Amino acid sequence: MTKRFGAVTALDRLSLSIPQGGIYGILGANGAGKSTFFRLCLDLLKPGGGSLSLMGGNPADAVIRRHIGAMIETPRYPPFLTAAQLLTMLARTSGIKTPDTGYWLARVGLKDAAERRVHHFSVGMKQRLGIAAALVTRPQLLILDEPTSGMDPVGIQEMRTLMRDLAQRDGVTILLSSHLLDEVQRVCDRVAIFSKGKLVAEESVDKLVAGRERLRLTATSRDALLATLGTRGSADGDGVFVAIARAEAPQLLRSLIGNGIDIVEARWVGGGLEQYYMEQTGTTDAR
Amino acid sequence: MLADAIAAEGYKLLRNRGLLFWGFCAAPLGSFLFNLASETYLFLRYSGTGLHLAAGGGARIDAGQQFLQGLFSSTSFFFEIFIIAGAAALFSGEYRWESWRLVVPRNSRTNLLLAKFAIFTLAAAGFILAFGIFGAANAVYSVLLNGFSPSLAIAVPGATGVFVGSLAELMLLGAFVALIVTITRTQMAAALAGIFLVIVQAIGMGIAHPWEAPLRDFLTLPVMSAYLFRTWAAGQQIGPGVFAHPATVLVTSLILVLWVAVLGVLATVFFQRQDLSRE
Repeated sequence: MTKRFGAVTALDRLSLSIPQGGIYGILGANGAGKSTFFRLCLDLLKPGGGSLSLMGGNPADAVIRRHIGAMIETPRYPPFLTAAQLLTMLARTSGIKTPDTGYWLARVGLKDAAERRVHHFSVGMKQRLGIAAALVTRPQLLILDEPTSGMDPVGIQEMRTLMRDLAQRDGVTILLSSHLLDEVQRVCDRVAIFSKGKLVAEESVDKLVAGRERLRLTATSRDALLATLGTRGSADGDGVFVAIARAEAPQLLRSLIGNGIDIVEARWVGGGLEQYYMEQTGTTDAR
Repeated sequence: MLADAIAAEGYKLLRNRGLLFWGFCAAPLGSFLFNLASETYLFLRYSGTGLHLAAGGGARIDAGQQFLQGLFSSTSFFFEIFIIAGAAALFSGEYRWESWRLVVPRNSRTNLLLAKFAIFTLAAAGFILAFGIFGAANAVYSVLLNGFSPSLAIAVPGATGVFVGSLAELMLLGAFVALIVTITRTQMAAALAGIFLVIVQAIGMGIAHPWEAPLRDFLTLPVMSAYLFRTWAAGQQIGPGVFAHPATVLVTSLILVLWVAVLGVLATVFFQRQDLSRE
């Protein structure tokens, strides 16, 4: 797909196939095209070129879209509605006359706020309500754009549990965009990385993380440590990176101590999604 | 799916009390209360002075005629300002609250806009009927207050015709406001454009004179077609000693319907193609 806004190319011949089931993360800096991609999936934007198929149909068809639940950025709502009324109104738009609003509000932790007007909600509460609104029609595909933005740590943990639960127990496919790379690494099965409207990487999280860790050692004498490690070590500030597998670490540490090197600290670093993201996008800022 | 969208839009409007009151209830209710107050003031001021209307006895007041008059007055300029503001708020709500992103994935864009138009039409119908009912209620109050001889003779076909003509005029305004809202995405621009349209149409009617205007004037002044239809339905003169010809009424009514349809289709086509990256 291609999508342009005037001179700006938001999506540049993006080609992507997303498997059914599980949680699929979409990463990228601001302006990388993530939100544009989501809005195309929801027919909020019209593609400038190419084609898009979701669950075997064109998302321009409202029948297909009814199988999709979505929360795009921090949602806003008609201020005069209560949380329960909002869900009822949205469900009726989808053709569901008696939605189980109480269940979904309880599921996102808003049971006690069901009869409160959304106008008085905090950002975190609006986020939770947005997720309930996305789920109230029991969709097969859930699109969540920054779902934990503005949430407190407890809320983030609850959302993480909810997403895993939806994917594993209810069989919902989730498309997730987040700047919290650690969060994405914890919940996603696969990730795609966008940069300047293009797909730069797409892989399962397990494969991305595997084999990317490095052991960082700090000793009383960095030079002595480097000399002992030889070509296996490389300086990093006051410490040294060692390129070895996890299984070799105990042997190495024993050997160093045996050679009179006083180890102050030993830890594995950089093996996460964040490092991979940096490599792929050539940035130092995950945002 | 259209029924779903209409049900949801109606559900939303019923809970938007500010819009419901100021857009569709305040004008008929205000008019009713003003007439009540005027009637009471006149009664208190002139009762027993010999100037009072009832003093002569035998005066009659026709609630049916007042009902018809109420239907007519619903399309007066001052009251149309309320309906234009109501239409602008109704059609611009999703842009203002940035909530298209919540509803567009759930139904087709055409249905969502048609649902707004259907709910507006229902509210406008209530608006017109309220004017008629309050007009009749004012008549009843006069009867009770002044001891007039009551009368209730409603010519149903005539009243229906006036109602339909008034509704068509308000639908025209609604369709125009819907188009401006979808283009500009703002309530204020649509409300101002709607008021501007009403002023231009009123001036145009004043210049063209409905009883002698050629057909091309009706093409550019659809409000005049609604006026012609109403006066014809009520059996009233459109000018000094002039009654509308049924054939002319038919053609001008078609022009009016065409106007509503074209404005509605334009709004729908525009909305259908609109990018909603930012509402």
